Amino acid sequence: MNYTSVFIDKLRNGDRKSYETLFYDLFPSLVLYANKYVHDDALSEDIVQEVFIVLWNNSSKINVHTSIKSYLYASVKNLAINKLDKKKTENKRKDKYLSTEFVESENFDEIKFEDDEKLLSQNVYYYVHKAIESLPKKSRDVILMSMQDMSIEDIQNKLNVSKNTVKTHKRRAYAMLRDKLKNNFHFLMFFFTP
Amino acid sequence: MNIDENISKIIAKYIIGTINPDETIILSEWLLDADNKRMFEKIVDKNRVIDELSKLELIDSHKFYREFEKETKRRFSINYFFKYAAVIVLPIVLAIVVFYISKQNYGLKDESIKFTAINSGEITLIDEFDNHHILAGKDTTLRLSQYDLFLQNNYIKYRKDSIKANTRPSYNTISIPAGASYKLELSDGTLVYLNSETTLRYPIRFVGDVRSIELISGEAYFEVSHNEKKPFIVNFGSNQVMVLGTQFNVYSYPNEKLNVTLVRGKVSLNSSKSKRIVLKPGENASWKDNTKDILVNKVDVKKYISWKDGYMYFEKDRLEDIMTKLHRWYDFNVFYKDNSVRNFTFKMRADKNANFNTIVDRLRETGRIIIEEKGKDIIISNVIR
Repeated sequence: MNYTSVFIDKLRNGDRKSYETLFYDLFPSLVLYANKYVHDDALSEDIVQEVFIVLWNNSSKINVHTSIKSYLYASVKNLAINKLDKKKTENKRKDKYLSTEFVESENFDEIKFEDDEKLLSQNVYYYVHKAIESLPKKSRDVILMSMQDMSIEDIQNKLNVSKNTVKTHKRRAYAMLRDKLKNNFHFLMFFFTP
Repeated sequence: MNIDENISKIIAKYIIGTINPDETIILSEWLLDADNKRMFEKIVDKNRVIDELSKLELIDSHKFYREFEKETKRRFSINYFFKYAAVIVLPIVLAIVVFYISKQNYGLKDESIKFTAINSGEITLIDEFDNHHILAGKDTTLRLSQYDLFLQNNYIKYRKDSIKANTRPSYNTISIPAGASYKLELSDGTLVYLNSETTLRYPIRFVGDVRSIELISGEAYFEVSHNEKKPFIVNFGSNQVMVLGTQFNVYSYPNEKLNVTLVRGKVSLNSSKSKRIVLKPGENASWKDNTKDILVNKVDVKKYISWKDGYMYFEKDRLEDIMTKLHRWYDFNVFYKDNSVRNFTFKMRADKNANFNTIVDRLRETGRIIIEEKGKDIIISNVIR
């Protein structure tokens, strides 16, 4: 999904349909992203909900130059870390009356790496998922199995279809994927803001 | 924090198997960086890909979008108010004594007002004739002109059969001293937890269209019993909290910032200084009496209501504020040798049953302040002089 400035304008104006589109597009990825931090499904869902609601409540302040996706990921991360701090405090509280304020010795480089990885991986899976889910079921199954390095024979057996069918499906699927990702790609290049 | 959309897409294509030669070149260059290579290897792991894809599949966006719609369509109308309050208040209603008045006679069948001590002390009761009575937890019956008060074991109760029918509500005022806290059950079943140094004025019976009480000063936590027809109003200073049936905390000590914290339900806050504010659960409204702006924040309610369960919870609170609050529970005087320490923040939990010395020791253990004790006086200074 590519968010043009026209779309962003609609968001700013509180256009419900646009919010719906944005929501359905990014909600799952954002939830999994939050979960990488908090490791709690229900909490992750709440976090992302809250971020969308805050966005809605502050519609008029949306800045057209910011990538709405980056904003959402950043907000989710901030809120998740926030909640994580609270959880940690909870656990500490159970053992002690008093804890001093100190910074745990942390390897900042490693943390930066982890953060970058969380974000990149989530975005990659977002694209993979988007591409695959647009395929018809049979093609989708074939592709998923191919990704698992299953041979044509294995796939054939699993799906109970002829070798040719598998090949055809695969070919079709790749063609569709290439097509889908190509279009997105060009669009993205046009609107990408560094 | 920027997402590299370009690379994300190329890696996605790599995973699916549709990457083209140009993209492969871009990818190879990107992979020259060691960290990038590490990330790449983690991301393209086959098992992980399948796992992440299936997790994405499992999320039911519909359900959550519907919730988002509900949340963003909320209107603060009275009808919504009623519906909302009813849904969550039901459990509270079931747990309390039902208040019944028949139209014909004002006989009060199951009605009574009860005080239960959380931490006992000598409470002062002022009756409607301005007579002061000191109540301490001993077995005795206090006979007032209109009704009897029965005292036993830190538990004070208005004898229901002694309360005569009356068209005007009679107000009593109760004062809780430092070091004590009480739980009061009003005639409609509403529970009010009263913290130390708190004075509350309430009617023996609720009569009329509203249930009105006054928090003259101090801190109280309310669990209001549901009654659509009779909103419950807490007056404090020139401010007012109006509720139908919910759980919330009001903090109103003189010369301190006022605040109201909502745990469950919904309240509307009226202040002489600013426009009406409606609070949602988890929200706290705070302001200084002489300012116009009321600040509403989402908070960890535990910090604001833990006192009713017998412990105080501080997080990044100034030492001076912590001392002010502790002073209501423990008997001591605090002096600051260095003004700087007043602003030092601490994170701690204080159990009411704990010895004050324990708390002093813990504060010392942080290594940030020096505390000298001379009898009841504690003198705090900075370690760095």
